[in-house]
Amino acid sequence: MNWDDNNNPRKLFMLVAGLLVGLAATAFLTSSDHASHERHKQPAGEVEDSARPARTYRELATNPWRQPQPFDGALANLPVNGGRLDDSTREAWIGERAKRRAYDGAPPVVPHAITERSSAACLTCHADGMAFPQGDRASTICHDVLRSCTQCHVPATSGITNADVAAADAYFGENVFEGRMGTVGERAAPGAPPMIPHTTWMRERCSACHGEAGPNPLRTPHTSRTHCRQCHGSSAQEEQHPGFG
Amino acid sequence: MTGTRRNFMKGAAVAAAASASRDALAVLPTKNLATPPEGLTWDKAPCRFCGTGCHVEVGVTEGEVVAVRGDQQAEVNKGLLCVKGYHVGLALYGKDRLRQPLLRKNGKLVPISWDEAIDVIADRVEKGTEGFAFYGSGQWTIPEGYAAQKFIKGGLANNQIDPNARLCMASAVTGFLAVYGVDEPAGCYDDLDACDVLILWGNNPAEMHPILFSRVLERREKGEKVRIIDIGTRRTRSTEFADDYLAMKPQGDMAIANGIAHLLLERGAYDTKFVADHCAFRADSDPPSLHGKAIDFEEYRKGLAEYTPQRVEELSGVPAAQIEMLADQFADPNLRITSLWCMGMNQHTQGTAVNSMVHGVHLLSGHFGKPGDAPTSLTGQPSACGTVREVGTLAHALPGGRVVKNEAHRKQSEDIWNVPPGRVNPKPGLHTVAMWESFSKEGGDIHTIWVQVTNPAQTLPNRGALVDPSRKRDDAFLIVSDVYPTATTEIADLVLPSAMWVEKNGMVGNSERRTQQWFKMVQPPGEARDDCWQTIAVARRLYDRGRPEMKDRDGNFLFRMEDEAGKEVPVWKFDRYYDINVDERLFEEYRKFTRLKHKDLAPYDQYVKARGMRWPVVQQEDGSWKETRFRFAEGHDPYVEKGKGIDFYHSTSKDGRAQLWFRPYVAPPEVPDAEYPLWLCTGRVLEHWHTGTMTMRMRPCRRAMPSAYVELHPEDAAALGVQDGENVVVETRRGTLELAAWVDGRGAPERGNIFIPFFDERLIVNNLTLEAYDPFSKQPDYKKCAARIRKA
Repeated sequence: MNWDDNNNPRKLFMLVAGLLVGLAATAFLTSSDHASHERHKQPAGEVEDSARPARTYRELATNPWRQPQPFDGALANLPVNGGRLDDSTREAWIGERAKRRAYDGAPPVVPHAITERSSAACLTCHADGMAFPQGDRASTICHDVLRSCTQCHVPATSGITNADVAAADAYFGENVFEGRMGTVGERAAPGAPPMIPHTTWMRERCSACHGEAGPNPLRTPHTSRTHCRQCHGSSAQEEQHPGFG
Repeated sequence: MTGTRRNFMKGAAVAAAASASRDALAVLPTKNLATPPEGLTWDKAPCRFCGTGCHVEVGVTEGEVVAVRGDQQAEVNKGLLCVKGYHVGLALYGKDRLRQPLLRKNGKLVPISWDEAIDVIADRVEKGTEGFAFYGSGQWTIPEGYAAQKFIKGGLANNQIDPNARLCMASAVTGFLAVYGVDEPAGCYDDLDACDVLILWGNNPAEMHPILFSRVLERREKGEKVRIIDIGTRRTRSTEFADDYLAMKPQGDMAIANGIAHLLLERGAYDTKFVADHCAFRADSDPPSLHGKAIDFEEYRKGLAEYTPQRVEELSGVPAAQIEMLADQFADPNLRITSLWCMGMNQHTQGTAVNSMVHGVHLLSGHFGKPGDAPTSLTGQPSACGTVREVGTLAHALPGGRVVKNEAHRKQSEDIWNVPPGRVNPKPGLHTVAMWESFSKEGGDIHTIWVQVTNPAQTLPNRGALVDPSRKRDDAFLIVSDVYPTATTEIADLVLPSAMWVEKNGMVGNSERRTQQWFKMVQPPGEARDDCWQTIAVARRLYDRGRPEMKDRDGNFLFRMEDEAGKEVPVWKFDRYYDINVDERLFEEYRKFTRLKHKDLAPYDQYVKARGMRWPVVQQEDGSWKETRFRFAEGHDPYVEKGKGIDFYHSTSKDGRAQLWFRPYVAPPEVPDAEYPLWLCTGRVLEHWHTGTMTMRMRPCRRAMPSAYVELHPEDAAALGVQDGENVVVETRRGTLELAAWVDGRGAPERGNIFIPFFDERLIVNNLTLEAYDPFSKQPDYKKCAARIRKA
């Protein structure tokens, strides 16, 4: 660094700033050990209503910084299984999901009206799971982009009038097909990453269902990890074997 | 507990009870909410539906289909399917599957035994063998069609067998024959992967051949530039992806093709070398015949002289500038151009002509014989090619591209079938429209029609003339083999429950000459039995009654089949039918027919191993079997000699050349007038296959498209005071139909045009259509007749 004689005031400022930063860093580093001790001592659920006054540096020595409330209390409150659903809730949700699919692996039907001729608008909401004010999210496309969406995804009910669907149902009767359901991934041992219980064909984009945009029941507890296949292996039963037949 | 929906619901109740007692600190529960279905096996099969011929894998457990997946190993579809394909497993499970043979007694269909049913049919044959006809199908498997073919052509020898494919592909066939001397496309789907320009001639592949269309769209997704030009009478889902939409008046396709050829000649922008080396010229003869008369280049040029862009605009409604644009495309030798067409050009009173004209545009401009340069006729049905066209289940044809009129062909057939010399009849039988006219006429020659795998009461044009009168005739007997109650079983005298798709062994051949095979995976319901077995069983009953028609040259049963030890297997008994592989036996016999026209088929076991193979399949020196992607092109087609470049080795002018036809524009027989001012067009939709007998019983398809409708242009609707969704009455000179109007819906017809899909058996549009047909192919025109509309 080339210090000019003319920059004496600036030089002084830089020195002081550097000192202060250094002090702050020291204070922070020494305080963090104390902070972790303090965290364990915090009673669960304690929340302070008013803003805390700032402490002087002298006070910090005996009353160090802590993690802001209410995070402390919330941590202790978290259920041990990481906030995942219990079996009955999960099953209910899988049942909902199954209603839109003839079998696990079938393209889901579209539960809303669509423009009949053009598929251009679909990805507006379904490319990234657009979130809606009421709290829903559109589902996110889980396969590589194919532009003719309605080739596979057809409306759940359609027709010029609603009576059309009921009349057709009555005329053509029931179908007794029973589609296979999706499964839950098996683990080799407690704590092992579950196997992928479905084919990855047309489900290449794991995060569509299991990431942040995914619906809560399917969302992984570790959405920040995005290289899924590093740990989660494919199912030999579900993947189509090359060289089959 | 297996992983099906029924068991899931049971399991859910159990799981709910169990979770309450779970320890919160335990590891995540490993109890599976739905275990993988026990013994879930996956086997390959072609999809049951369209002519694309996608491959699926069928998931079966406990004797039932529980899932379907796109076959990633299949070249046709590479793991992708459409909504029909994804739900094809459901096609087997409509609750009202036919399970028992039914005979009409006193107006009601009553259950009878198979034994009695076979007797009834044999009685009808013995009534008069000349009047017993088969009406078959492009959805017949190859062995099924071959068995019926042999029964009629090599057995009864009345040549009365014609297929529903007469109504869909016949003009494509005559077009190929008139131009190349042999049927079926020279190219294959690989052309779609290589073309720069894709021209749609009056078809809607986004809905009708969705996998093929997606194949092109995926190239664009990867950054390739493909220009899609949509020539049509209405905007469709395909138009949404097109770069150009050329709004055409019905029949305008003839003018457009001539317009392009005219400009290429005028500019000198045609491929002079290709024409000089590989083309000859033809025009209609007097009287007209399929192969017409030879003309020279000058006459060809003279014929096209009147088709200036302005004249073409008058005839077709397409602006002159767009005709020029089309000519620009074909004039560019650096572009690879694929033309796709289907029913728009085939269901056409000038179908043979317009097919030959579009082939002609490609040949004239040299856009032929290189990957991506292809005039590609697409097939609608899964085996119109494999069965109807190749096995020859048409009134005038014999297997392997042969015809009954040709003495050498008859002798070859008699030898392969081992029937007495002279057995095969040289006189063609009745084509479809004529067959049904005869059946519907008092005293008509045809007294019995056995319908297999198709639904003519819903698909024949002008049903009021071709079908209904037969029901009033004293002695016209209608036999229907089908899987569900249909419009045809509704009026039949004898209904036979049939096995479908993976309930039987099968083989089919798709649009790109690809023959595909599958094995039976599940049992058919009730007493349903294979169509092929039904034909053989009737043949055997006749043989047992001493009928000479069912004996071969040595006095043996026409369908005699032996096991490895040489002992005859009684395949006419259904419990013995799968003792051997009847499909394989019939196919290996049929294979022998395929060498003449170089449509060589490989041995059966090759198709077991492959996801289909495109013929000609030729054995290599190392014993392997090699398919052919591009016919007539050196380096691809093993029958083209080195140095020839292109060789049309079935040339009708016997000089290795294809025929460039001059044909004039000819107006349709019925055009709109003051009384009936609108053009009526009919067609299909994505969700429904043909008459909807299967897809209307598949809930996702039915609910997405529950009923038929009439598409109207908004201005036409406004003029009539009709709103979207309102009921209207559509009338032609032949019939009336009341149904809902859909304005600016999935398809948008041009002004003065309306469109009605034909899938809905409650709203049969073929009461309105016209049975006028192409003079060479005998194929009717479902795309054009005159109609009027009024509010209901």
